[in-house]
Order: sequence, then structure tokens, then C-alpha cells
Amino acid sequence: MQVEANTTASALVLDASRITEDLLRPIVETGNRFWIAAGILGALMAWALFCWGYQIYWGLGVAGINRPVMWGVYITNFVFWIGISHAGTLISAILRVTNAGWRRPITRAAEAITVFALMIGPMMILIDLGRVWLFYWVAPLPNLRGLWPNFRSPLLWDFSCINTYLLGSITYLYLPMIPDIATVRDATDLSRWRRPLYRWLALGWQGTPRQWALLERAINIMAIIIMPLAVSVHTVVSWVFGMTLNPMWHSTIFGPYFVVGAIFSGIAAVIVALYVIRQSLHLEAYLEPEHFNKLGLLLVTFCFLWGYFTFAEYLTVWYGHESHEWPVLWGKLTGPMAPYFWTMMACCLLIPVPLLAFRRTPFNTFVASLAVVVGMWLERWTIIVGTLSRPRLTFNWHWYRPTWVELSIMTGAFAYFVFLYLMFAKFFPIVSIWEYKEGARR
Amino acid sequence: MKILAVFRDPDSARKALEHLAAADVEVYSGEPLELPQVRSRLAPAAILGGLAGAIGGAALAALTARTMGLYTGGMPLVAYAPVGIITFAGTAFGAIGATLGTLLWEAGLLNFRLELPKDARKEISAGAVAVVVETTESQRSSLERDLAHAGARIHATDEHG
Repeated sequence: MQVEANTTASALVLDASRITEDLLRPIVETGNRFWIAAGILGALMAWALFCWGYQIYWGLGVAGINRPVMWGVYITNFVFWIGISHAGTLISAILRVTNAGWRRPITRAAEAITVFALMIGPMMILIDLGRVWLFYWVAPLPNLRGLWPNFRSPLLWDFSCINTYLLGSITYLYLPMIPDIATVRDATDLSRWRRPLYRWLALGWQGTPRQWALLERAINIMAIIIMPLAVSVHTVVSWVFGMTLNPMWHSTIFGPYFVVGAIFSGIAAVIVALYVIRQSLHLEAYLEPEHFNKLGLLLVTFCFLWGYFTFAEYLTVWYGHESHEWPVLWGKLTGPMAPYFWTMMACCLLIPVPLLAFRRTPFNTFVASLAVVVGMWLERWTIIVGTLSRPRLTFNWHWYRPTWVELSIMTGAFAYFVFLYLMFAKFFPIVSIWEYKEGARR
Repeated sequence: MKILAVFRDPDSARKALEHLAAADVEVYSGEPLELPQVRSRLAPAAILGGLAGAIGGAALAALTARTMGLYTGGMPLVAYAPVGIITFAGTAFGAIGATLGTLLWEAGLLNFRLELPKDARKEISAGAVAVVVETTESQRSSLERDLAHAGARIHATDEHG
């Protein structure tokens, strides 16, 4: 209620034309910082592309993955990005269905994270395949040996759920963008090559009451569809691990544990993105401290929830002292995984909780979120490599270190995500203009 | 003939619209004003699309398993849990596609012929509300006067005549 009041108060100061002008400025003006950022990101992506080509030419041997650790940085990144994708659409959908007024300036930035993270995550699978040109074998088509894909494999469940979630997220991002794309079409005098882009993407939107009513109804329906879909996606990702009989993977709570972790890391990613947008595009009047306060509260709640699940998972394994699980647990607590495990605990609990418990300023929330993002990447790393490096047969124990090829590709993937986000903010209003105006008027 | 009147803000447009209740009026705005109760097939379409997607998903998983032709020694070839998951994804897929398709159809999107001139659309982007009123030649001047009195700027009337 207080946030709604704050949003309204500041919006009354900003009249409708000022709101349009402010939120379209990043689209019509291009500063040097944009080109510098695009150049750096482009160089990182080009290097990663070269490394991928190098890996395709020489084979997966140039990566550090080998028996028994056949899933390394690439799959860690896959799970991490799918987790990051979680919060954007899910938070937006929940806030929309509950009609939370403070959602208005943040939903689009959050939804865009979902779409781009969903594009990066599965890309890591393609890179991990090695022979990427055979990726179509996962589609329900007979492959060269006349075999059909087996839907009993959780990998195929993943393929189906992620693609459906991607389709849903793109639709859910796009529908509320239509009126704003029409605003860009009408309010700006852009270069000749950009004009058709907005004309086509606006789909002939005119803003009649009938169009508004139908659009709002469609967005609400999409919000309802997308919520169970979002939960299913990370549950299915967890089942890729949980359906195996590997120690510390074959767990009944892996589904909810992964979903909680995904929402946790996703909220953190949304806060990081909002802070960077706020500072770089000077949108302090739109992304207010109260938004960071609310999101910070949500983040600290999920800190405790994630901590509870982690405690439950590890306590059960410790108490059971099962012979195959114990080396994995001990490897995390005191062995080669210990530095990563304890850094994860620091990043996910020790750093964010004190920061968020008392003063949830935008900067504090940003620092806490950055720590959580790092911590949640390490969580995926410790889950995957921790188990695979300690298989049931002890003669097969082997440690894994990523090579420069894997680290370069990983860096390139992060750069690609930031690049996509940068381009999105350059071509489309990153804060929903019509929703902000609607909130201000109410 | 038609008159295009542009109001600076939604409130003045709303007041004018109260007086024009009986007239044939079309409103264009950059944000939703009062949302009318429109008859829509969006919800039934989403449900039907979901049902179609569910059937498609189940058929895909079951038929793919059967096509594989594995010898299972009498065990069932089609596993129900995986079929359930693919059916779930298919349901969502169908519902999303049907919602999007129905919206495009019912909202008249993909029709790229815009009713308003560029300058009026530019004003709408800045927060104005455009009202197009169907009228006759005899009533035109009085209607224009009333709209102007209500705070509207009359735009290029002839283009819409």
C-alpha cells in the first residue's frame, strides 16, 4: 500500500509526456558508454565463439570433463541459467495475479531476464553435446540408426518443458510490450531501418478500449498458465539428477529444493539487473528504493527457505551415514569441494542475511544479490561435480578442473546474456510505459 | 463524416465522453481507461487449446514409444509417468498458442492500417486521448464547438470526413 502510494506520488510529479520521454530516451539516444559496453561484450563473445569452434574441431577432449565427471562447467551453467530464468516470469505473474501495484516498473526487466536466460541455458547443452550438429536427435524423429527418442529419459522431459516455458515466456514478455512498441512507433523519429521493426512488432495496435480489454485478459490468462509451467521446468531439471541413483542426487526433495533455489537466484538476478538499469539509464524516479526494499524482503525470505532446504538435505545424508553418500558429503564439507561449499554458504546466507535484515537500500540489496548469484552458481557446481567426482566405485574417484576452453565459453555465455539484455534495453522500453502510467493514474 | 478530437488527458476525455454517450464514438488511448465488458472467447479458447495440446502431447509420447518397437518381454511399452509430463507440457503449449491466436483475431491485430494520423498518434503517446465521433454535416459545427469547449483540439477533420 505504501509502495503504491509512493509510486503514485512520484508519478504525479512526472506527467504522462515526461514518463514517455524518460522511458524512450535510451531508445532514441545512444551514448559512448553503450558502444564501449557493446564492444567489450562483442569481443568476449567472439573469443568464446572461437573457443567453441576449437572444441568442435579438436573434440570434447579439450574440455576438462572426463570419466567420471562427464558433466562440468557447461551443465553447471545450464542449471544455473534455468534457475535464473525462474524468477522473472514467475514473480511477474504472481504479482500480476495478486494485482500488486508496485510490480509495474519492474515486471518487464524481470521477464526479459527469463527469456534471455532460457536462451543461454539450453545453449550450454548444445555446447556440451560436442557433436552439436546431431542435436536434433532429441526431437521425436527417427535418427540415423532408425531409433526414436525415448520419452522415459528426463532429458526429453527437460527438452519439452524448457521449450514450452520459453514459448510461454516470450509470449508473456511480448504481450504487454505491444502498446509500448506502438508508442515507440508513434512517438519517435527513428532511422529508416528501425521504423519497420516497430511497425511490424506493434501488430497494428491502436489502443481502442476493446483492444485494451482483450490484451489485459490475455495477459491474465498467460500469467495463470505460466506459473505451473515455471515450477515444472525446474522440477524437471532437478529430476535429471534425482531420477539417477547417484549419491546425494537421488533425493525426494530435489524438486522443491531446486525450485526454491531457482526462485532465490532469480530474484537476486532481477535485483542486480534493476540496480544496473537504474544507475546506467538514470531511472531513479521509476525504480525507487521501495522497490528494492520489497524485493530485498522477498530475497531474505528465500535466503531462509533455501537455508532450510539445504540443512534438511545435508542433515539427512549426514545422519544416515550411508556408505556411498558419506564421501560426497564429506568431500563438500572438508574435501576438495570445501572451498566452493563454504563460499556458497557465505554468499547465500552469511553475506545477504545481515545486509538485508536491517537496511534494504538499493546498494545493500544489490551487493547481497550479487553474492547470492555467485553463491547459487557455486551451489549448482557443488551438486554436480561433488557427486560425479565421488561415484560409488572408489577406484573411479577423480577430481575435475575446467580448462581455459570451458572458462572462456562460460565467460562468453555471461557476456552474451548481458549483450542480449543491453540490446533489449536499447530497442525497447525496459520499464513498461503504459503500466506505469496506469498505476500513476490510479 | 467523422471528427477527430484530441484531449490533453484522460480526465477531460472522460467528461466529454459522458456527453457523447449516445453518439457513435471510438476512443484511442496510450493506457487503458475504463475497460469495457467485451465478449471474448479467450478463456474458452485457452481451455480448448489446452485440451488439444494435452491430446497432442499424449499422442506424441505414446506413439513415439510404440514406433520405437522395442522388445520389452511383455512389459508395457508406453510408460505413463513420462507420458504425463509430456502431456502437461503439451497442455501448456496448446493453451498458450490458442490464447495468442485468439487475441490476435479478436483484437483485430495484424491489421496494419492505422485509423489515426501520425501527429494524433504522437500526442496519444504523450498521454493524450483521441476520440473519433461519427456525425453528420449539419451537426458538425456544433459538435466541434462542444468538443473544443470540453478541452479538445480538433484534428484534420477533413481527412476523416
